[in-house]
Amino acid sequence: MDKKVIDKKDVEYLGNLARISLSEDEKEKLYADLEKILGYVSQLEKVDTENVEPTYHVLPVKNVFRKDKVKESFSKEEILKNATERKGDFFKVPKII
Amino acid sequence: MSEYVPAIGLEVHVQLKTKSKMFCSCSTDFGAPPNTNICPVCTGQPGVLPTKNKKAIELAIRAGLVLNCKIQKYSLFARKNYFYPDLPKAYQISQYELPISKEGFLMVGDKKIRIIRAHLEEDAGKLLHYIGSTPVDGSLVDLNRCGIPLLEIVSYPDIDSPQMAFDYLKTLRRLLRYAGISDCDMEKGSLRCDCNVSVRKIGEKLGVKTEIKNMNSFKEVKDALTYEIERQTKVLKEGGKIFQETRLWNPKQGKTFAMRRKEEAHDYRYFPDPDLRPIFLSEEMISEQKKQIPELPADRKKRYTEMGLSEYQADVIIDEKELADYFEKVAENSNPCEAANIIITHLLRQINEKNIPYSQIPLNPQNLSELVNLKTDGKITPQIIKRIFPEMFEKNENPKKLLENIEVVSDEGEIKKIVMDAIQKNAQAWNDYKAGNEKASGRIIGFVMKQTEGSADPVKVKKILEELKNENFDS
Repeated sequence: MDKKVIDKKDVEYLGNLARISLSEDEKEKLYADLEKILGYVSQLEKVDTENVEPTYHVLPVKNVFRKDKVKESFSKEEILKNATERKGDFFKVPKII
Repeated sequence: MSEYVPAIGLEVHVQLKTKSKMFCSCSTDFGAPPNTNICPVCTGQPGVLPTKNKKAIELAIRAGLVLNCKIQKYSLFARKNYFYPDLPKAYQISQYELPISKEGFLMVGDKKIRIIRAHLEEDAGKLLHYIGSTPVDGSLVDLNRCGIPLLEIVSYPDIDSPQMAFDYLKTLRRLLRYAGISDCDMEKGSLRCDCNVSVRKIGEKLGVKTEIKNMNSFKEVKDALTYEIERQTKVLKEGGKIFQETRLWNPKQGKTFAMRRKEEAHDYRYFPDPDLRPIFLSEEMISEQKKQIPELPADRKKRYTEMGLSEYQADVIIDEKELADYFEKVAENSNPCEAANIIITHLLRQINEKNIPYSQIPLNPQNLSELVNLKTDGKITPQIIKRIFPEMFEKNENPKKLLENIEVVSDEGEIKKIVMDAIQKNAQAWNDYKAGNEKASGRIIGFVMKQTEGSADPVKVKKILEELKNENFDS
């Protein structure tokens, strides 16, 4: 068995970065999943890729550009409808400073 | 004890001059009502796909070229992950491992400041904590800026004084404005600057740096750096330690303050954005941008000094492209040095007093070159220019027409009377002048000009003074 690639603290750390709270059960489950995923990755890491270009994208399509042309934006009301809270035409969020 | 020296590196964000945003077709218009230039893409709704703005890529190439960078044929967008209310997707699309250009330099005077990289990214939204001067019981978010294309230009810590940081910013702004890459207007948020600064004893390796943010002008950048260098030096001299941290500049107090150190604030977990394919640049795309680069400020300065302008004059004239273009039109039909002289002394004064943009100078260059020619032909005195210039400027008037209304005293008999009167009233100056102090004549000439409201021909005044001196005229 390879050395441990992840420990429980990492799961808590990741949860914290993602701003989600995890129950002890969830932490256990995620820990098991992540361990399996990373175990698989460490297996892949053994392959010699010395002369192989990294694949940054799976589709062989290049340079899809858009012309710099303004199109009408979406309705402000439609988008603001998704806000938890609004004030006038602004999104309102808990005070951050 | 050896002295401490600073090492400064700047991170400058400039807004690329596009009509639409980086990854969607919303307008980049400044000053639009809140949340009007937003769509599902730039507000991070589920299931949307970003599309790259070609113009933004072209401008980034052009910027890389004028900054002497290596343009990367292959570059990649990455996600920079962090949570903040001005960033609805919870990640910023940026470039990380493979930026569009890297390893360049910018000449600031004679000093070469190396550039680490210049990469594309999107701007975040704007947060408001006040409406007018009333605090809000939360924070308000306007996402109009969200997704506006930015180029982040990162320098090496080659800058060794706050003044050089100031000069670097001025030089960079001028260059990017000339090349049509960005307006670089700090007030409109199209240029922002963060500073990394550390101090060390001469000969030692770089010290621990702090990052300073929240400067609203180039002068504030200079002030913030000056403060921070003093602070760090004091801490070290007293045997203390500098912590790597972000500090905010408070312009009212003229000090920097440590930001609350957020946990894990710097773990951005960059990874290639799977929604965006890599950028492959062809030789054609790069050479097309080479063609779009106009004559740059440094080349213009060289050309102007070759025309006979002083370093100072050339620096003032090239500062803004529109002013330099204007100067060239004036200099086409008149003496360039005299043209520069009148532009700097009179035209800029009017422009500054009346706060007129260079693109809207009311006086056309033809009328100004006529004035320059009258001056070089000795047909008009500096005093008269001073008198007629404001009206000429405002009404775009031909100088000859304005001169018709000004009586020029050129009758030698009359001038002599005035000069003799001036001598009597400035006896000390006259004696000094007679004793060989050439400069003392200035006071008498000044008096004559005041009496005649500048209408006496100064050449004749000077001639009469000399004659009277030779006659040993006594006051």
